[in-house]
Amino acid sequence: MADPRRRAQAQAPPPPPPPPEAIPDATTAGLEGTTIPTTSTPPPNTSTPAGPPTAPPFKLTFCTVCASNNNRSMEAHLRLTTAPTPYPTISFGTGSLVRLPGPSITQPNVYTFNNTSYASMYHELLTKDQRLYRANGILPMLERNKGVKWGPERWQDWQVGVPRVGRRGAGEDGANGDSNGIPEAEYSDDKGYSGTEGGTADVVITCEERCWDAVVEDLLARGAPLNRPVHVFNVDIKDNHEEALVGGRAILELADALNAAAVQERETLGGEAGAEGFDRGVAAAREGFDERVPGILADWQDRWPNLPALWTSAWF
Amino acid sequence: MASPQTTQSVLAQLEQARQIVLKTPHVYHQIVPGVLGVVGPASHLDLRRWGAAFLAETFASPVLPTEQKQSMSLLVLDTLKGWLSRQEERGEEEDGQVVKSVVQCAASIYPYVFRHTVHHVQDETSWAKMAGIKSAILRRMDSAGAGVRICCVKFVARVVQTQTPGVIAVSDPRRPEQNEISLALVPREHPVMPPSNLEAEASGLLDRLLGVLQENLTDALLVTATLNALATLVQKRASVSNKILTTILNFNPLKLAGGRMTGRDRVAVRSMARTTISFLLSVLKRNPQHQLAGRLQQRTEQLRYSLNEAFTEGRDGKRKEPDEPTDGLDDAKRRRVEPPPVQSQQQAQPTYPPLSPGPVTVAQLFTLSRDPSASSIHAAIIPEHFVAQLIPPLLQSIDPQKFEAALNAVRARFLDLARNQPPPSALDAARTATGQDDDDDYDPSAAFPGQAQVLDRLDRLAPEGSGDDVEDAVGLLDLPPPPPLSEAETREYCEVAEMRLFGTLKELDDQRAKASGKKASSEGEKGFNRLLAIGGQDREGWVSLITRLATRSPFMLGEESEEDSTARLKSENGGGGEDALALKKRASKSDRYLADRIRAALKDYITTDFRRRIDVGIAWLSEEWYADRLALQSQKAPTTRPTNNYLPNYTPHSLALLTALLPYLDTKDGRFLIRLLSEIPALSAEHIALVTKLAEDPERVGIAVQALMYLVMVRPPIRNVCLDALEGLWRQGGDAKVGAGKVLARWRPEVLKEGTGDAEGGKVEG
Repeated sequence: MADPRRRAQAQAPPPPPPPPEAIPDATTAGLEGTTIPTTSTPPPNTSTPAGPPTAPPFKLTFCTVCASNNNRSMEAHLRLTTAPTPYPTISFGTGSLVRLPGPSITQPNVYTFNNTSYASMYHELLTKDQRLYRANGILPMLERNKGVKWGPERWQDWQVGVPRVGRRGAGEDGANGDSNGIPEAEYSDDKGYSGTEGGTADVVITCEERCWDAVVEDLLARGAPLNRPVHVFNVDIKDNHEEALVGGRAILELADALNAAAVQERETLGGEAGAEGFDRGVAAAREGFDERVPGILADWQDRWPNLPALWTSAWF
Repeated sequence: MASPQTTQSVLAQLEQARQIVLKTPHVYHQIVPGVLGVVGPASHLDLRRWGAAFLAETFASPVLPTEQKQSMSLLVLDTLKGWLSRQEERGEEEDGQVVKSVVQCAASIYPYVFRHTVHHVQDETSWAKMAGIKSAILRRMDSAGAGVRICCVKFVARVVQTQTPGVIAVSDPRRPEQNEISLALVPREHPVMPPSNLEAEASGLLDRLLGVLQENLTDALLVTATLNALATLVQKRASVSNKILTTILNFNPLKLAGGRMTGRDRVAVRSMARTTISFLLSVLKRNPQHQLAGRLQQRTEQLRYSLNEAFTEGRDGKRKEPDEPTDGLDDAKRRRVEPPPVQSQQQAQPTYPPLSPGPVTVAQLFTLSRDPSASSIHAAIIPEHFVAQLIPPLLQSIDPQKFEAALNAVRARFLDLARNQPPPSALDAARTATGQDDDDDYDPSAAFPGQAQVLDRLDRLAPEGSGDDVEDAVGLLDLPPPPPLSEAETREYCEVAEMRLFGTLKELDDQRAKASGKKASSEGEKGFNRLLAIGGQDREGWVSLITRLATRSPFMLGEESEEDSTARLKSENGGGGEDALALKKRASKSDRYLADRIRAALKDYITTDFRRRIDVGIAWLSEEWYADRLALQSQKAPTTRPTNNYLPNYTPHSLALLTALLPYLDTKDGRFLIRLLSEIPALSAEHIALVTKLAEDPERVGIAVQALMYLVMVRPPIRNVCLDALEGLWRQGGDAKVGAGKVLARWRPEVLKEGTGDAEGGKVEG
């Protein structure tokens, strides 16, 4: 249903996805900065005149969260990682199980988090009732998700700070791959992998207030062992394909605004360039990234009044 | 300084090294020293940023064993200190990004350095370095940019957590590393860090943290970051958790709300309120038996509600609900709906013909049109779906005035009908409806089929025009009045009623006595709900029921029949009037009989245990007073306020209760007397006289004077009477003289002067 539109978007950015996969072989930093010059030659240098000539552009790391890590968070994940400047992104679900619509409201298709791949869900539903699941958009959605990462991950099971390197979930129960025999993939196969190796994020964006509550509560319960600040946003998106598309666009816009502020902070408050940067900076730029967050969200909310937003500054 | 190109290549190498340690965490201790050499305080900004971020990540990493972190933490102290003191050493402020990472890293290593120092008493330097870093961070806490400040807040929370006693889970001294790092690990005579100093420092820092909440009500970033950082302390440090919770319970995140909020304010208010709610809920969820659980719950709901309120007004994201008319606007709006002047209404209003005399059909009753062709149409022939389509637009187009007038016309006709045609008895009705069916003996079980038949026939006959007699059939059903109760019967029933009323009250008392051990009695319903609770087994409700039965049941009956209405009824109605009057009198008599019995029983009930039942007395007398006032008001012209102080029921009963109680009052029962006197709704000179009489008893003179003094102070309407009484006591010069003199000295000093002038002299202190 919404697929054609999504395809259209996906066609624009095909160049970015291949390079991340190539990076591990290249063994270098794996930052976008190193990949972009290869695909499109000089633009990054002109875009960051204040920085050192070949400095990789700074990017915030994002984490998108919804209930099942299938529709809204994955749409946002895709949008963030296929944007003109792709962001390092990971995504999670806060529900107890992955629930996808079934033949009726009382018969959802239920899967477990972390060890079921999108591909195996796809194959299962394809054999169950191809017509139904194609018509209600589940198969196109899973098709999209397959291309983004291996499978849905649960927020509460996420060990923040554990490096996301090597094979996914390797060593947990010895089984490598899910029940349907779909082999587990490398973390580096995920879209927007570069920059997420550290296993943390600067910004978490949930897609429903319930998820925001779950995330904030979970962070409080974890006791903030990492001492690392994280901005947790909620953007209320209805759980359907159309709204997910709109929400994905809105989230990308929010991410762009946040990232621009973060980049500005780094340029303006730079130590050596600090004095002049400070004098040169406009009032807003003199404020650091963190303190600009509420204002950025307020401006964003004015532009997206139908997606009520919420935010807190929490700790990993 | 390195050239940009070399910086970039160094960065690339560093990033490669990072990838290696991420994959194989056990090589951290080989990589970190190498990294430190490259990213030191003298290096390029990008390297310092990278280095600081790397160190923060390293010491936060959950995959790196704590022993390794502890040993490595000592290596990085110098580097961290160097970054933080860039201002002093190089004269330029360190980059905010670097400082942010440094503070995060310091928060992570603080406990490790702490534990190292606990076990290595000889190593003073490490702790001194850490202390230097700490003071550098604390200096920045109030002045740095917001991003750095929140990290400082987290650092301080971490220091507080480390330097407050925690739980020693593993008491095995051979395995100290298994214990959580806290002040509990520090031996009392530690030479480098005396525990008392650490604890004092932690306490001061905690105050500083809580101060953030008290001072920065508008900075959502700082407030939410602080709240989220405090959660760990509440969870893990029982000794300070209540202090933190109390502060947060008193924190009002909605201070910015209300009035005109900018978008940023709205974000801030919502963010702070929601974070507070999440915080409180997480505490509650962790420990539902928390001693503050009630307050946490209450505060959460309160915040939810106020947040909701603040944002429905400010229509944040959601559509605003339609405004309720406020007082100011209401008038203007209502004016429109008011009927236009009477004249025009009369002009516009068509007149409707009265009904023809004699029996009429329902159709005739409702037919207002005089047009025979219109009135002859049988509405039932119009198909139902047409009707359904027609009705809504018709209803919308009807002129409300005309509609109202038509309704009134039908209503008037109907009333006329009811007045002029005395309805036949039920027996007749049934007979007409069913033909000559004689099945009329009233036996519910046997009658059901027959009754259904009757109803069925009535239904079938119902449509207009089918039979005139049917309309008559559906009249008022009059049962013959029951034979009047004899006086003796009435009394008997009253006694039974009274017995049962008080029997229930006694049961409830017993129940309460049993339950009082378990449950606070204050949980009873309050206010109007008290009456709702009557149905339930609730003593309060039952008391209200009894008192109202006593005061309200004869309400407006006795008074009227005894006064002028007697004559009026007699003269107007002749014989029938007399009959009605007799009935009424009897009714009122029996009612009064019941009421008086209840009152007597109430008085006994209260006197038998007045210390615990004084509230019943107050409730009863208040009801008496209220009923009397209502009676007074309805007797007199409604405009003139009743000035008569004598209340026919209240005054005698309150005096009687007081008289009954006074003999039982003990020297220590002053507070019951004062409570009674202060809470019953009206006091007169007679009441005061009774109280004054109490002063004759030398043992109880104290409570009498106390009660009078209390009344002088808090019941101005009766003040003068009380003062007169006190003056009387003083003049009598009995035991009450000293006490009375004290009161008079304040309220009527002239009396005392007079007294001293007379002769006796200044025995009374002024």
